[in-house]
Amino acid sequence: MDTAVKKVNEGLYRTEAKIYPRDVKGRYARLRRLAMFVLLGIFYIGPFLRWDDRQAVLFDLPARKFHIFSVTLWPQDFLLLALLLIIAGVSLFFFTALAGRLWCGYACPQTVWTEAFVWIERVFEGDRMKRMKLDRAPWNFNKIWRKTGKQVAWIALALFTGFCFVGYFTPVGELYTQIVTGTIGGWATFWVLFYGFATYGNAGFMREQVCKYMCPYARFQSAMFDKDTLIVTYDQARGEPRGGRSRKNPAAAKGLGDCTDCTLCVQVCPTGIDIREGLQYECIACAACVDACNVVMDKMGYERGLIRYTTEHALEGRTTKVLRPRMFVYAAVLGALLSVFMYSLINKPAVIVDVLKDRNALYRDIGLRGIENTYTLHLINKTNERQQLALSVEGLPGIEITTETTVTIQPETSYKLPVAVTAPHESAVGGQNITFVVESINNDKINTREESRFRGPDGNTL
Amino acid sequence: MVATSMATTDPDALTRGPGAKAWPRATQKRAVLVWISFLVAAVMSLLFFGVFDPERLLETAALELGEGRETGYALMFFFFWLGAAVAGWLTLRLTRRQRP
Repeated sequence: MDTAVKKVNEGLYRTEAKIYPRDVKGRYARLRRLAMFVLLGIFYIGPFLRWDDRQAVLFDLPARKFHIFSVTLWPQDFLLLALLLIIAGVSLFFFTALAGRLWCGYACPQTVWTEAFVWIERVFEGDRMKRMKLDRAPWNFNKIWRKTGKQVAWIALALFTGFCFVGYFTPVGELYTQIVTGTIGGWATFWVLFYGFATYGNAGFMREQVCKYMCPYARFQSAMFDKDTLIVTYDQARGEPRGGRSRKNPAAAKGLGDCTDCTLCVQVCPTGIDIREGLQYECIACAACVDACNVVMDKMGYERGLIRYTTEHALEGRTTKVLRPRMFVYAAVLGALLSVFMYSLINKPAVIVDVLKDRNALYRDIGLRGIENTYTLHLINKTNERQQLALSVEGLPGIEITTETTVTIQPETSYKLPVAVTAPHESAVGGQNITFVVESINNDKINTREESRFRGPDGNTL
Repeated sequence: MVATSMATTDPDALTRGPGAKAWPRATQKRAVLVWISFLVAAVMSLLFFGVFDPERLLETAALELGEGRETGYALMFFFFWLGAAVAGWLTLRLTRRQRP
């Protein structure tokens, strides 16, 4: 344990040279590539999808409305957004406890874009050895065109990424037209360049440094680990003592473990660690070393899985418990949050009414007709059809609205309506609760109630 | 934790090629500072603007900061970023260990 802590402390800010991850083929590499295509596909295609004559996914910040397919979220749905953030956090806990750093290895944008950028690098500069050789080589024509080509492709991808990113906030068709005609606004230009630059910097240059030094999750995830968490690990008992040997000469393997010390696991590692030194916080669990080692094991005719996904308990020869208290707690919390989220999403009110009491006068005595209070109703129609709303008020005997009681609101708009409410003298005493009732005339499923206060002169308190 | 070093070969010699300069400690600190404050600013902006409308805020501020919600969003985001970065920078400075 001591050595492990020391190792991490030393490693934290150790100066590092460039890492040249070697290409690897295998089950997990395929899985990673698949994840890359699916996730990047979703990101890049997202802004171009259509839904009902509008962009399917549009976070319309200027209008303060989020469109996500058939759902439109308003600032009033803030709770849903907050819930969503909490759900994302808890599911990260859940999946980390269950399967370790799945997020890091397969789904994190940092990993996914790095994968894409490394792929471009490989196209122009070749695999690990070629890249190392090219970097050592003097600046000749070959090096110049390969490096330039890579940079051009990187910048193009980064700019397109920035364009798509902004396309989630500005209608992407308009954005394209603006760029082509040169009428793009200052902020839009800025954010395209900003996000493009961030992508280029994070995926092209900083890469594993982001995971090792800059990512908060990488540092905190160990708190969610236990001995039943899935980790990528080297089977020391089986592998040691390691040593080179020839396949044709089995005698050479005498007294040695299964590790041939070919160092392929180190060469493929995107964070440049040696998995054989044990669990390290730099490991993003991408399983590239698992693939690399299995190839060697196959060649040597040894059993696969010298490096494999396993748990510490399994490694110690004990059984791995998937269903453990921690999992139940995380799952229960996650389940509860998800239910609340789904319930709120489905039962989102179609019409919202906010009642603001007029602050200038508490009440007005209007003689025989009674006591009058005035309010401003802020009505929001979240549906995509026009709503004709009927207003009424209840809570006191004889109370009624004396201004207009029907109002028409256009789809997805809000409206501010001044309202006067009158109650007879005998019921309008002191401050009392009343309820505004808003019902849609054209859709009897839509109705909502909102409480407010009605003030009258203070009566005899006896 | 399985962590006993038995490396017979220096892994660094294998992974480290020539080329890019290593990140000095100061660069790493700066990178962490900028990145973490960026993430915090992003989350803060999300939560903040879930509640407040930048247009109204700009009106209330009565400053000549330009028009439209986009400006409000952007300025507030950078304001958060700056605030988080200043806090982080001061924390780093004040918790710095003395060199022997």
